[in-house]
Amino acid sequence: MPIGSIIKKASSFILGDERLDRKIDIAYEDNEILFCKNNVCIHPPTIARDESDILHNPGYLTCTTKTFVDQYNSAKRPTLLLTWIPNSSLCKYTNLNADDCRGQCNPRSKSPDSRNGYCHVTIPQTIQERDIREEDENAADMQELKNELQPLLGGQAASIDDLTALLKNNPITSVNITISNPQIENSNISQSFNCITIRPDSNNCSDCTNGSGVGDGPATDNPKWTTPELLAFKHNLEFPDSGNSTPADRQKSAMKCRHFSVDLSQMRSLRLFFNDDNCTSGQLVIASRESQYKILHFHYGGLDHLAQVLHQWHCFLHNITSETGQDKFDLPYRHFMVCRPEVKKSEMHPDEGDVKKITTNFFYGTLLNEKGQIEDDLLLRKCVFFGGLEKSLRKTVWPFLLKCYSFSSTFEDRAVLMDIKRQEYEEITRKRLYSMSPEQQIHFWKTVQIVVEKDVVRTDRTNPFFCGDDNPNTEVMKNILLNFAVYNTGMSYSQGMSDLLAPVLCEVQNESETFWCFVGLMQRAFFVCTPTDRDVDHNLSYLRELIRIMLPHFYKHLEQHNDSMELLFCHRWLLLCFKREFTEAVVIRMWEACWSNYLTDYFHLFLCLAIIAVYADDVVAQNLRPDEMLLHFSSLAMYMDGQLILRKARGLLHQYRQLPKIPCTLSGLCKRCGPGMWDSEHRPALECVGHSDDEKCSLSID
Amino acid sequence: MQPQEEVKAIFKLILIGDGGTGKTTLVKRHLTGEFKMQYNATLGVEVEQLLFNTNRGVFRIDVWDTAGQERYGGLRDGYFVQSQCAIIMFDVASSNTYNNVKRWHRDLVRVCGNIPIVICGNKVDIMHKKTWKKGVDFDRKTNIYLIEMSAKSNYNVEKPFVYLLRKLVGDPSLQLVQSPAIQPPKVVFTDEMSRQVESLFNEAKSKPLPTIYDIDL
Repeated sequence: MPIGSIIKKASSFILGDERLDRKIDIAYEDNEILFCKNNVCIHPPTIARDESDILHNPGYLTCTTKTFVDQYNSAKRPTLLLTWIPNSSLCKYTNLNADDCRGQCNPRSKSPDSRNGYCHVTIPQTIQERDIREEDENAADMQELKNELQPLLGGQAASIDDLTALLKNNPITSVNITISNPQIENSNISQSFNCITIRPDSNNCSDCTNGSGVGDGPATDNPKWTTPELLAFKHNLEFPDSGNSTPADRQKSAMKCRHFSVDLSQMRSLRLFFNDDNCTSGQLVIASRESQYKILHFHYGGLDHLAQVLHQWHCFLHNITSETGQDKFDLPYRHFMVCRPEVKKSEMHPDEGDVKKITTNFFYGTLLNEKGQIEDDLLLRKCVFFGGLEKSLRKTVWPFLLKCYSFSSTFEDRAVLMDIKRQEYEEITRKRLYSMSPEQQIHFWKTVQIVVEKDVVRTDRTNPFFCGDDNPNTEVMKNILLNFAVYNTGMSYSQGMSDLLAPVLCEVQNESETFWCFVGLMQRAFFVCTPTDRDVDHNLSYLRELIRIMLPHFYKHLEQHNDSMELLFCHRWLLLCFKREFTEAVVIRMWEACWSNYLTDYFHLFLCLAIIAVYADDVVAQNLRPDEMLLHFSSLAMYMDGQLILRKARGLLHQYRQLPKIPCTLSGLCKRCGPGMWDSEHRPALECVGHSDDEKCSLSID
Repeated sequence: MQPQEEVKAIFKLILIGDGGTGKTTLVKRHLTGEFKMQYNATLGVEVEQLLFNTNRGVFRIDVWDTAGQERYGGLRDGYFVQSQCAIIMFDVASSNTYNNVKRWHRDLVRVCGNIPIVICGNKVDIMHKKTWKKGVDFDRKTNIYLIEMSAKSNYNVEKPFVYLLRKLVGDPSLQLVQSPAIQPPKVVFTDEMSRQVESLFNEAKSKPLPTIYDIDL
């Protein structure tokens, strides 16, 4: 194995499109200042060949919440506005603007060393530095400004030392950790910089759905190329004049000043690089979608607080609880990367966005007739597939999706059936407790009970429904799993089943009804892979074929590495139905789409395909080996945009069904879901791709 | 404190054994800042990178923490491929997990050949004396090392890695120069308990391997 460290990447999405239903602790208000810091420095974009070329332009940085209104569809979403104003533009108008600014400021949100009166200052004219010296030097504000500039003058040596360290290629920290637990690992800065190199072809940059990256370049051989400015120069990147920036929310025409202001949700990535062990000094690198960079230097600390603010904002947008955030934040080794993938309209299913969520009124008023029958199950399944279910309807609708009830059953039918099923469940319990011979009991205890009892106590304990000691719901979960092993001795119990049962029990709550939903889930849905060779191999072979025809570039990458075709990174996705990859609200939304059996029996494979399509750019660009791929995708757990993946998956399914010809090995993907309103099922031309001798081609069957 | 030196080599370690034997706990104990009383059952495989600072330099072991339950004949090969060393874990309080060690070992050797292996009996903090009256003969084979441990009480948690590093680096005197950043123990393991286990273990070493491990506690 070649010697070299793999920088573990964890992508997170600071800004998102949708806010999930569940509330979390942190609440943000519009125009709230989350972060501000003076003496954040921008260096002019000159070629720095040695120390004396570096010029420092200190300024004032703020990070403010905004509600962005999309001009096309008037959709509202929260975003962060990052603004930097050079110190040279602040001084002259302090007195005039102080009152206005003070009214807008929120003192509780500001850093202790921040200055009042300099927030959101509009600069009507460009001010030259020489003009400052001509002002009355006895003014109190001027004296205060001088006091702030003094540390910069004194810090000149410090910054030169920083640059010397860079030029000498000393180890520089480029990870993010909480300041209260500063245990870090140094890594060579050039490795990190390579990760933010973008493709020179600017036409493709807007399509980048993940942080960009290329293979190792000559930068590692030349320490002079390790500074952000040198990196930008090397790739012919131009730093725009800040006066030319046109943030979406600005009403006025462009100002001729070095003011810099951006909507962070419109950026492609944010990267933080740390220069010291405490992770307080370093650089924030902002990459726009048009392949331009802005580098903000923190010579006097504060970068750790900015990272914390960005992380909290991320948790807020993606409904990650503080507890989870704390866990992530305590990890010793984490590369903080922000990116925002997107799915274009042309890539989505044409019905995307047009089908609404099933509400209680719609379900009882339209979908159910007066007898309680679902006359149009196709409409129900389509609505579940695209729009999802209101939470309160899960207990009622899931039994239909999981085949406990037929769509044509009436209220009365279901009441009778459920009573019969409850008695059957009690019979299974009695059989387990009283009817096994001593030998059977010992065998059951060794092979099933011991494992179930181990797994139940470690399943979903952070869910309030299951937390704490002696939780009765944990006992119910155990009973259901043990009874299932008695009911279906062939399948019995295997690890992972408790992970699948827990959300169902949480929603359905009744022990007997949950048991029968679980039976439907385990026995009838292709969606669930029991962890046996046959099931997993079956799904993986389908997935490999889907990758081959839908994502040929990624497939080509897989072919170049031994053992990549095992798709190791997909195993956990399939075995746990994405349960540890996304937050529970998103996971349930995915499960419902799979259970609806709309257009395909294997929607979970299209979810896998969507994850690869959206997040595998780095894998191909950096030519990752199988174990590196596994690390890449594992590090995405809980940081991917689940709603985006759902939209992408529906789009990929639509593309697949439009193919005029498919491999015969994929002929089983869309069979059981039925023809819908058409007279025939999905029947494209089949192309034989070859078989081993013991396999029959689907063509001969047709 | 994490080592500041450059990593001299990276090794892939495959961690196998029945489900619920404490494999993930062993790995997590070595990671700074993360400990829970119990971890979710591992499905598929999860890779953790552990760093060890030794008198021969800093080494990184990529531990492939695998799903323990069910036979994945075809799938498991993918996990094993290119492993340079292995740990097979069993739970001393569960006979099934011990009886399956031979099967795990057979599957491992079929794919990886003759690589250094440590067989770990975990959870000895439960202190069941009868356990060690039964013996095993794996220690007589080349490249196999038998050890008892308690991941929750940090008893012997470094020994498997030290043994494997010595084999891989080819230096029998290799030592850790800085203790791994191990979380404080949840269960106190006294010196007397340690001596007791050592005594029972040495006694067990001289016994032949029984046909079936039939004591459950």
